[in-house]
Amino acid sequence: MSFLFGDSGPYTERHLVLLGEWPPWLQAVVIALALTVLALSVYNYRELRPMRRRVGLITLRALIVLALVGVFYQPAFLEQNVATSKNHVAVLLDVSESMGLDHGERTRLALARGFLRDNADLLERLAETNTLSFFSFGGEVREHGDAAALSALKATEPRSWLVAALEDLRARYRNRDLGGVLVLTDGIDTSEAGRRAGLDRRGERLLAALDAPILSFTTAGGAALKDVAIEDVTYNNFAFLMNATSLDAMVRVHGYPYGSVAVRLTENGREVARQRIDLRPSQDAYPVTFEFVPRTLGKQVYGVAADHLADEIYAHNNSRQVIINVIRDKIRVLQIVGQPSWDERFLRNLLKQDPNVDLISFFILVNTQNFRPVGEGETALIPFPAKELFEDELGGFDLAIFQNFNYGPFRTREYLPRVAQFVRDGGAFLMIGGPLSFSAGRYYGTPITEILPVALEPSFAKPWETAQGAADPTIDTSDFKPRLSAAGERHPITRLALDPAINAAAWGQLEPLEGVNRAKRTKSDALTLVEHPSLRDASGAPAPVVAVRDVGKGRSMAVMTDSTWHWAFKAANKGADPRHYDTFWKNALRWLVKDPELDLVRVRVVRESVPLGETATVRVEVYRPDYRPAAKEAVELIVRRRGPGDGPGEGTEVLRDTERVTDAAGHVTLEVPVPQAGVYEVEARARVVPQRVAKGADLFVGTDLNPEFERIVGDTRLLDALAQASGGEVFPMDVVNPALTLRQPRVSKVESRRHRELWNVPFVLVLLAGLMALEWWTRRRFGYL
Amino acid sequence: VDRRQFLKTSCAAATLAGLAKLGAAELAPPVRALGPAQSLRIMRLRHGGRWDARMDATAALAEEVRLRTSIDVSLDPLAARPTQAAFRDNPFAILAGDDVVRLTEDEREALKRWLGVGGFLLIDNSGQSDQGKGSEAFDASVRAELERLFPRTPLRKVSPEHVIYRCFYRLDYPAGRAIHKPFVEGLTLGYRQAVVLSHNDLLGAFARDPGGGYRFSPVPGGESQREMAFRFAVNLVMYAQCLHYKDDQVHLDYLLHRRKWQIQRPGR
Repeated sequence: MSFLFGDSGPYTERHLVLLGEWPPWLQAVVIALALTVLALSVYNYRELRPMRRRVGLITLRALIVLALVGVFYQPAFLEQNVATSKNHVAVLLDVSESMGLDHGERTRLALARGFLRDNADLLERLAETNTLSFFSFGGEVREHGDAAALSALKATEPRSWLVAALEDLRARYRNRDLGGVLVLTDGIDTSEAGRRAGLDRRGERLLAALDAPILSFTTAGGAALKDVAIEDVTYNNFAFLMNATSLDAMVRVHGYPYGSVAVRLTENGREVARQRIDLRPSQDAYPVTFEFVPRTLGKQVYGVAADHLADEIYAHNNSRQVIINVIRDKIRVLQIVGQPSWDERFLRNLLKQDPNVDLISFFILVNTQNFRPVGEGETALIPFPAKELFEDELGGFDLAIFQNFNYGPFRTREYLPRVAQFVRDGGAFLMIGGPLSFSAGRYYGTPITEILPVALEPSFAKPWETAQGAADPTIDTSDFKPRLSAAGERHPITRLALDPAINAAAWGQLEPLEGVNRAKRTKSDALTLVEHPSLRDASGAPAPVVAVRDVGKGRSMAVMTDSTWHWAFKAANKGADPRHYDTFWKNALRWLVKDPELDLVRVRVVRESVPLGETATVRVEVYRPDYRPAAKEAVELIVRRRGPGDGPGEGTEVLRDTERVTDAAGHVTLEVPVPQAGVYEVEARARVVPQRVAKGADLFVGTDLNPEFERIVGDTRLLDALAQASGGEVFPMDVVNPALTLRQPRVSKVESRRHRELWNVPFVLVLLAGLMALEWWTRRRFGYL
Repeated sequence: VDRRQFLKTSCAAATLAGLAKLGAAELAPPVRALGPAQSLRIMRLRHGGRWDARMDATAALAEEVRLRTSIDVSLDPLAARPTQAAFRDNPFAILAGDDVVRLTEDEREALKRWLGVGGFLLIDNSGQSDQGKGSEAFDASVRAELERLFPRTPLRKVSPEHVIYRCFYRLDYPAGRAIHKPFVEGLTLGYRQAVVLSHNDLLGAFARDPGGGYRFSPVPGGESQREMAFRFAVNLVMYAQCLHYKDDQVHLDYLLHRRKWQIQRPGR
């Protein structure tokens, strides 16, 4: 249009408009007039020959009418002078710790710096047409002045949340024109989106709101990376003692298409299971399931570790540790009874009906006098399976009860050392009185004596004579009313009621017992909980009726009578409370099998998982052997960080506090700093038991919340999803001068506006005059003038 | 001996003869409990009817239990009403009779409590009717009394598979002086048989005359039936003290190994 109006410059926009805003009736009159003129013209020229003359004249007339109608509408050009503003382009650099890992010979971050350097021209060109901004992201987004400032950053962020960074950008560029986002990353997003490796609805909404292509430059997908990682461990945080349980691990293997990897499961550093993975070229994720049997109560550290292979770029993700609290499902009790009796019957009945107890009983049903010739198969008697029980199965029990059982006739003496060792190794042993127990059962001098809470005298009485009524000096058959000792007043076994006064009253109202096995004395490291009101032992102390003792890692208990069933049957028949019998025996069971709630030193870490940099709060409760709170008691606190192969009591000592003293309630609180990731063991020691140190311990995990190194091989799936949804693209990090498809600026500014009318410009008037003159001349030539 | 071998061995019942082959050293010495109250004392329940029928059989039963098992049994039987202290202290009682049984309200209440907290009651119909049955009056009256005590817990036939038929001897039926019915009935409290009702004059098989001989000849089986009666009585006493112990033995394999505390190696 410059021939009409001259040059208007590059930022001028023109639009054709009509200035003649006539009323409709006038427009109708004009158009009707024009059509009439055209119709009359056609009619006038109907005789004109040849046809081309007629058509030519009518065309000329039509052009003239059209020009006049056009003039009637006053056409004009609307000229606008516009200025187009630049839109924004954001450059996002991933500075999470995984960017510090090697990719080939250089780190991923060095490759990103190389991109910025090699594409400096591209960035310069972008800066001319766009407003370039530079950001780093990890857990949060930070803006930097230029590419040089971005290049100076180090990979220190403990997270890489790409989708969250894009949300941040959206907030920063709200109501501003964003032309594109350039992301420099290794493709690891440690957020949920990264784990999902795709976009959810929220992500899709984000990209729609951002309305800008995401152009990623990444090291992800590099086949040259080599790594073996325990990516995930799935487990129940508790398991049942001596019950097989399982733990699942996901092993991620990159860069090793062939060969095999051994994966081991360790319990407190000791290998308990091993599996071998055969690698395949088309697979990088290998699920592994371990089946194992927890054999130790309490919190245990289980580790899953894979072999280190040659050329792995990162070795620390080959193992993971978890804490599993091993609890009892049921207390497994072996009850061996020397002769059926009411005492046996009521105890068995109690244990059998307790859903927490798995009971296996063996009763000796015949004796040497019992001989009646009968045919084979006429009785249901079976041999006593001593070898099976004591050699093979004893370790599977929590508690062994010898109830009025004499080992002698069953060739079980050879197994008694095993029973003693079972207790030293952590098992529990209960001997219940009767004519076949303690000294009367010829246990004097056997290995059982070593684990009993009471010292025995030898018995020289002959069984045949005692059976006929002869006296055995190790047995007293008189009735007696048992009484609590000082230790028994607070001990959990003898706690029939929580309130000490009510408890004492309950003991006072118990049915009398009948007969006791005499002991030489209670051992110095044992406690007499219930004592005889009149009988004295060899030391002059009241004869023990119930005594307990810690033996090695296990516990033993002696009940020197076979008449506690009186507390159930006789009491109930008299209308007294028979539940005291149940309470006493259930308490005994809990104490014997070391219910953690009954430990003398109890350590509790408030949080099982403590992030690095924070402190773990540890509460310690200390009790005396009679379970009074140990007030003003010195407590030694030791904190160790366990290594992968360390078991209980092992590891690097990180804290030792020997100057702590319990408060009036027997409590101590400790704050443990957690500077490093790993499993921490907090042990408390107190000298509340004579001749030994009572200990308690608990575990917690110092968690490195940075999951950067769980997966160190980048994944392009999320980047692909972002590119696809936003109209972007994914490039390798080493690309130079790529063709970028950015969104054009959409915001313009009108600086001036004017109308240029067409009807009154000379060219239009000359054209109109020319048409009229041509028509006049033609008409005259053809004879119409 | 591996486990399988052991299980085979343990599941096969050894006989007393088999035990005898082991020699006397394999058997427990006979012993007395720590006090007289710890012995099993067979007690006769005194009631308003002829409670002392077959009274002399009680001591004979006690003697047989002592001779045949390791249970320490008092040879000094006792008779007591349910309301008496002696009755409350002993968990094993026999209610026998050949006519109507009558209990007072206090006795019923005491008996109900006694059964509920662990007592075991053997009811033996000692009567001989003209129709060759036990005493119908006795039977009807004990049923009525039991219904009063436990109206929601009826007497039921005890299955031949019940542990009372194999807790010491392996038996097929409950013998007595007679075999009026080839079964006993029982009243179950919780998971145990608290009451066993015998229709076959069980005590009659043990009753002795002043000269020491047996007073009755069991019919129709004679002396072998008497032996079976003794065995059934021994089983009842054994059941009172051991309850379902023998059921555990049948399931020994399961009990020992139901917890997977040993991971089975593949291929085993």
